[in-house]
Amino acid sequence: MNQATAAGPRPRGAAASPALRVRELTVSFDTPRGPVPAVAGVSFDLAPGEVLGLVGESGSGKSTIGLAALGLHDPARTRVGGSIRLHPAKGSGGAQDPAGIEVVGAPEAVLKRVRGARVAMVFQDALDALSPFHTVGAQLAEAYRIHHRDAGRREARERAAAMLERVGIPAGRAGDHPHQLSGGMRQRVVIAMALINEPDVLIADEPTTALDARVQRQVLDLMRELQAETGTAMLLITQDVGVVAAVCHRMLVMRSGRAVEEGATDRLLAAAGHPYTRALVGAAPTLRTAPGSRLPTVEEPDPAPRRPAAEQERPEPAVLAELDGVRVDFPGRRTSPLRRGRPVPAVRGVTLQIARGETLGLVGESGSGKSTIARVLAGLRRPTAGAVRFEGRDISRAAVDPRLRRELSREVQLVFQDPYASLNPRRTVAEIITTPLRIHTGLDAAARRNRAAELLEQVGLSASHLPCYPHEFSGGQRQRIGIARALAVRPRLIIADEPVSALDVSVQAQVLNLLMDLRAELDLSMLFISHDLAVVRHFCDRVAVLRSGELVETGSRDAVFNAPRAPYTRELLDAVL
Amino acid sequence: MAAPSPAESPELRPAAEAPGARHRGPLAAALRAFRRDRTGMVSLGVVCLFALLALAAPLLAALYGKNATEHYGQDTPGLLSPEGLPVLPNGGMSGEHWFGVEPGLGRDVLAQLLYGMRTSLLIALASVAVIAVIGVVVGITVGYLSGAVDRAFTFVCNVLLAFPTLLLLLALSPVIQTRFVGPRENEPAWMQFTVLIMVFSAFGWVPLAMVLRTAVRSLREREFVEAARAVGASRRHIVFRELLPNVWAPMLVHITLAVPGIVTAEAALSFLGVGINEPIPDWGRMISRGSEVFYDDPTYMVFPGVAILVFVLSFNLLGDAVRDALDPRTLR
Repeated sequence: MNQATAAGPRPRGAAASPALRVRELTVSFDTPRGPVPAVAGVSFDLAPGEVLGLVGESGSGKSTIGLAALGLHDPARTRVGGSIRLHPAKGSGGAQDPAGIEVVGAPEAVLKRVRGARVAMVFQDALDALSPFHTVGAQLAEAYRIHHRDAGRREARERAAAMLERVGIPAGRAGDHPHQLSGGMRQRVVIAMALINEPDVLIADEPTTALDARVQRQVLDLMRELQAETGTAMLLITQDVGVVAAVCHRMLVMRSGRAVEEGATDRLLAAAGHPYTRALVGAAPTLRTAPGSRLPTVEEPDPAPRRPAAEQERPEPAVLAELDGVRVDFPGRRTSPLRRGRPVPAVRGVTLQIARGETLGLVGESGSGKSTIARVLAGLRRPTAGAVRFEGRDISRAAVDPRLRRELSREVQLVFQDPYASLNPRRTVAEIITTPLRIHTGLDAAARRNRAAELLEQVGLSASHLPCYPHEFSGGQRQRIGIARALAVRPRLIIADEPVSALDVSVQAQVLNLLMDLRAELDLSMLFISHDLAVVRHFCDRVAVLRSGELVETGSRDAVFNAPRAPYTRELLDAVL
Repeated sequence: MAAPSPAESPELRPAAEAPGARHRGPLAAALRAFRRDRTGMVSLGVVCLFALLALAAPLLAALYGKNATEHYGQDTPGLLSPEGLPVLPNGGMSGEHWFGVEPGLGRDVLAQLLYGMRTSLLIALASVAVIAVIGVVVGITVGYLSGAVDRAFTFVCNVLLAFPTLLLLLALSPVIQTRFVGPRENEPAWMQFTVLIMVFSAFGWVPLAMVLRTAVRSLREREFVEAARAVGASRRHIVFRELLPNVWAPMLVHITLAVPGIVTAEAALSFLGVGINEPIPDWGRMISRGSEVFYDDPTYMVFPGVAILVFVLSFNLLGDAVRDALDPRTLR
């Protein structure tokens, strides 16, 4: 939470001889339509023991730089220019060349010696980075033996066990396969594998993006600790300014393949020179942002404050929808074709109410049953036990009763998490948006089209987008289309299931602003599901905290965030960067 | 209301790259990719030429002045030797009979090839049509329903895949002959065709249905299906409007690759004598006859052999090109 002091002291003698020196790096990908530049003339130095944050939105070229430093680009389809020079630390032996090792254009034999030994990489998805068929201990030992030819099996095994202990995994679990470990532990294994050969430079590409906040915190703490201990220089690639604030000494902001701004983290966070940096820093709400305020975006770095109209007194907070002791079991794995598996509880006795005109935030880590609750309330899944009421009417049978679900879907609509998966790639925007109109209204084709055009205008797109297909849009625009579809039949309740977590921060800010505008304009009630506490605090009136299918705490926003009662809520709040 | 944000608008790709072809659907994009594929276009041309020849066979035969059933060699002296072999070199090729005459019966080879193509194509296309309908309906339905239906389907598929198709066909032909056809009459042509089409379809739909089932099962987990359910769409809407448009690609690929398979299978059956009988012209039977007289008249084998080779090759290349064009990676 205290950003400024999070990163340790700057290493001494940073400017003397950088561990990694990148000069005028350009990378372009060959496509059938000609070369597409991904990185254009980026230069920076990474001092030994320093942590540099490479920040930017998706498509800004930050991962491309990471891959280029390891020489991992496919030479058949990628053109890399400029220079990436490694200067091994004195003690690490090997390379006697005082000028260092040039990675760009180096032959494969040189690169093989560099990868893993001098420069190591931590990828985002630990499950993909580990082989599913080998134990983690064997994989660690192999990583060691690749660069220590003379090391025996026994020595490698001992070294692997020691490294596992070092990242906080009992050495006894060296015999486990990756799927037997939790996400956080897998990421620790990947970190151990990267550090086992004591590299000079560690490149971490979104190392914690796939993790829950609490685990993210732990992994980041571990990485910082190990980095300080070994003196490895680290290049941390991320789009999360919070992570950079917590870990990095310096940051380099990238946009469309170019470096926008570079400087000490504290300075850039407090007073960035470039408006893009300011927008990037401000776009993600933190626990100190004024709730409900317009978030700055790249186009609008200094938004006008919102009219306080949303604060008006509501006459009667009548209950719109409620869950009463809802329990959902998933069918377990069948042990034989005849016997049903033991049911796995996803939601255990949740009681929740959503008042008219209210936005309820549902917070929890992955697997806590948030999405299951959304599906139960939308009538897509039948609860195993308990009642679901909308306007006092029992709707728990909607999942098995098509008529009831049709009636319910007129009132309750969903906005989905993944704007790429939730729009049918083979249907045009017009078809997607008019589907609910065709089902629920008697409008003719022309009237439906007019309404669809109107909806697109409402979500900030234009009527000319109607004949387009989803692949022609960016993620933020797709999410707007999803919102337009949800609004088409003028529902009373919108269930938004992680609507912004798949989006870049600045796009996330745009979509949040849009949702806040629409909520005020259309007087919507919302169930807003998110794992991001800062976003929930910014957006919701009331908050419910969910843990393994049970409600831990429910209360008004200020009560939950200022004076959390449950220890779990406190833990979650502490983990927010 | 937020205006369309300037940062996002440049990402609206078609406006930037192809103003003339905006709002291309994925199929239209695939068509464009296909048109750029030279091998694909050539093989499509060959396939179309074959189809055209087959369609226009009677017309071509009339222009050529020969038909496929008349025994020119026996009626016209000087074409066949007393042993039944063509007198002229290269299988009796001449200005009169361009591709020579058949040894023994003395029919015109070119006319037989043209009509044989009709036989092959008719059986292949009819079977593929039946396969497509059964495979799509069963595959999508099973994929969407899953559960007990899915387990039953998998079992039926395994049984059908375990069937020795070739042996069944070999055994079926005499059974039908004795059961449905009188001892003194020939099996009518429509019955031969129907039996072949039915057997090819009865086993051919299984792979297609399995491919589509897998495709639909993964599509079903995608959020857009849930989104359709959430807006209140009926099951029929989901299957036909949301899922079906997404399985055109695997279906088209499967079908283009199934046609050459059926053509060769049909030729193989006729070669073994359980396919199409005399007097209906057929490539497989021509090759069979060619193998009998190969030492004395090798030319007779060349024409049907090359015809099948070129036809199957071009269809396979076409299938590959279709798959490349529909590949999501080329679609981006």
